[in-house]
Amino acid sequence: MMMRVVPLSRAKALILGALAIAAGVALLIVTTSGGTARAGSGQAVTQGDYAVLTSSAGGDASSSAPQSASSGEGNQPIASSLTTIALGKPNIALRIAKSTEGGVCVFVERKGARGDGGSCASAALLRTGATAEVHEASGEITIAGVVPDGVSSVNVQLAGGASQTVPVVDNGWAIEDAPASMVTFSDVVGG
Amino acid sequence: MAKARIAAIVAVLACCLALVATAFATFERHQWAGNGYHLESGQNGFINHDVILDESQGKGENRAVCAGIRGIGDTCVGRGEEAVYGTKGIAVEAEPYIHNHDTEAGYFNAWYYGEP
Repeated sequence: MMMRVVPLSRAKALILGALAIAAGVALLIVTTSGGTARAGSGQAVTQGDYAVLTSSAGGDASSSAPQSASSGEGNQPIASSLTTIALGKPNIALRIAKSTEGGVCVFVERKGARGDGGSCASAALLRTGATAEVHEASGEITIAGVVPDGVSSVNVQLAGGASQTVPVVDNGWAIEDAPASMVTFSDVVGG
Repeated sequence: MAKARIAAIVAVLACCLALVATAFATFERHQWAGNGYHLESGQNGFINHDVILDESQGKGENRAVCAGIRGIGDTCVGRGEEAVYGTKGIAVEAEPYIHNHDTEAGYFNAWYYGEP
């Protein structure tokens, strides 16, 4: 069978070219806005980028809310959103909550400790999340935090120059019995 | 005899309930540092007396801060975060404090939850 090649008119060629460019731009937009790795992109991070807060477990820990959850003053945790994160560390209880100023809170408790600690970050800090470093009179240090979806681990720089890479589970991470205080930490996205 | 026993039990229960209600009712949030409360890097700020409390809070004005209860422990957080350290709901008689955890001097606010 013979194929006949029909030359395109100038107008048709221009239309096809424009359509091809539009399709390419649309594909680029879909590719960059998809997925869950918000922490590394330029998009605004919201409380909705903490999947554990919207999962079926959301609000499961409101009965053990800290006293500040009921005060309504300052940037406080919203008790009804308090959720336990199953880190897989039997001596650590980690909880996350939405904060009254649009951010997130993290609460960490070491089994056997006399006290527990927490932190509430403002909405402006949703990209990095919230961290809490709890010191006990016995010298024990527990460091924990919450990060948005897409962060697979955090690299924690400790005082004295040491560092630890800690896996993120359900938006949460923790170091039990840290050898030193935290200086800073950085997210590892994906991987 | 039975009536007297029941009356005694009711009286004891009422007394316990009243004590619990009083304990919860009197625990309020008290601000003890603010309005230009300045700390150098690494400096502690103390309320300088013991209070009955179960939670200590601190926030720096764009500064890293620790909030704690003297002799028990503290929680340290980064800039823009509010630190909370509690005793798991158990009231203690101790001194709340804050610590400038930042590399720079700055202004801080502090609160505790406890008796007035």
